[in-house]
This record gives sequence, structure tokens and C-alpha cells, in this order.
Amino acid sequence: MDIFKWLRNQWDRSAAVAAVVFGVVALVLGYLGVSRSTLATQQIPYLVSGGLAGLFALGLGATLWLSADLRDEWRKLDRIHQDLKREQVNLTNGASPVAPAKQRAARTRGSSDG
Amino acid sequence: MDELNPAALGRRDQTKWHPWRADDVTRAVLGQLVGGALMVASWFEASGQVTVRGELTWVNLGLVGLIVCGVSNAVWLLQGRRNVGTARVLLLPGPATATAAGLFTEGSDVRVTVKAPGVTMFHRPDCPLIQGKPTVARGARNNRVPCQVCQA
Repeated sequence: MDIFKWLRNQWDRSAAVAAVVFGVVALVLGYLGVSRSTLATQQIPYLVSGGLAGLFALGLGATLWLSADLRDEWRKLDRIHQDLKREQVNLTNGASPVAPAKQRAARTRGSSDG
Repeated sequence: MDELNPAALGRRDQTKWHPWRADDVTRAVLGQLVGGALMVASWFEASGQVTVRGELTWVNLGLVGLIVCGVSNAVWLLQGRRNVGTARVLLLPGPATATAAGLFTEGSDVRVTVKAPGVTMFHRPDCPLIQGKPTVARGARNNRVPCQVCQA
């Protein structure tokens, strides 16, 4: 699989992974900064830059990933909606509704297999 | 309507950000920007303080920024979830909705189930999922659910 094509198609999941990685790195760097400081006044800026920024990035990554799932679900519903519209047109024109239903069932089985 | 449209669920224009609307995107981006700005300001100011008390004041500001971002993310996800759920109910009505709409009625003799033990789903006779399988005519009952394929 072409990794760049995948990254382009799944840009939201790619961004989610990048945000989570950034968040983990920020938390680790913040921890290292705090552990190497002796004064509380030196530690607190690490708490803000490492801890808060890390949590922010982790939350952003989770949101992006869940958004991608919602967008996928919406696309599936949109395909069903297109099928229903096509079937309605076929019924209006007097064509059999069974053929689109078979196509949809085959697609459903195919997507559940995948 | 050419495709599923959040505007049909609300009253706003459709965007490419399905299932969100343009103002949802604006609200989410603004939330992230405001929260991020508060955290950057918190870090910048806390670094310049020489007392713990002075630093903690700015840490609190950073926490407020983090909360703003979290609430913004939650609102974004809940709005998307709500729009997807509404679209799913409209397109794929469940048993209660289907019965209320008159698609499946109690005691109707045009519903069939596959002749096998433990089957709980009933179909229209022309449903492609049961073609070639032994079937038996059954009325709709509470413990049976309509097939999502032939129901549509």
C-alpha cells in the first residue's frame, strides 16, 4: 500500500496519531524537566509546558480519531441514502426494486467481511 | 437533496465537514485556539515568575485553557454523534419506528422468517437475503425484528 496515499486519504487519523505521539513526547519531556529541577519555581513551567500541552495533544488526538470514525459512519449512511434514492427512482420508472436490494446486500456482506 | 445533509437535520448549509456544519467547525476551531492561547500565555507568564504563588496563578490560567479545549472537543463529538444518530434513525428505522410507520403490522401474513430454530428476524417475501431458503409465513411479534435490507 502506498503510505502517502493512505496518509492523504486518512488525514484525520494520521493527524490523530501525530497528536498522540506529540502528547506522549511532551509528557515525557515535561517529566524529565521536572525531575531534573530542584526548585518548585523551576518545576512549574515544565508542568505547564509538558503536562498541560501533553494532555491537550492527547485530547486532540482522541477527538480527531473519533471524528474520523463518525465521518466514516456518515459516509456509509450516505451510500445507503443514495441506494434508497436510486431504488425510489427505479420504482417510479417501473423497474424491479430487487436488483438494487441485491446490490446493497452484497455490498453490506462485503463491508462486513472487510 | 443529493446526499445526506446536516442542513436537513437542522437549518444550516451543508459543508464538506460531514456530519458537522460550518458553525460547528468554527466553534471547535475557536475553542482550540482560545484554549491553546491560554495555555501558551500561562506557560510564558509562569516562566517569568520568581515565586511559587505567582506561578500557580498562571498555572490556573493554563488549566482553564485545557478545560476550554476539552469542552470544545466534547461539544464537537456530541454534535457529530447526534447528527449521525439522527440520520441513522431516518434511514434505518428500528422495529418500533417501522411498526409505527405501518411497514410491519401485527399479525400480517406477508412477513416470513427463515425456517430454522432460533430465528428472530422477519423479511418481506422478496427479500434477497432469504431467496432460496426455506421460509414460513409468520406475523410480526415483539421478539422479532424486521430485516434492515428489505425493510428499506
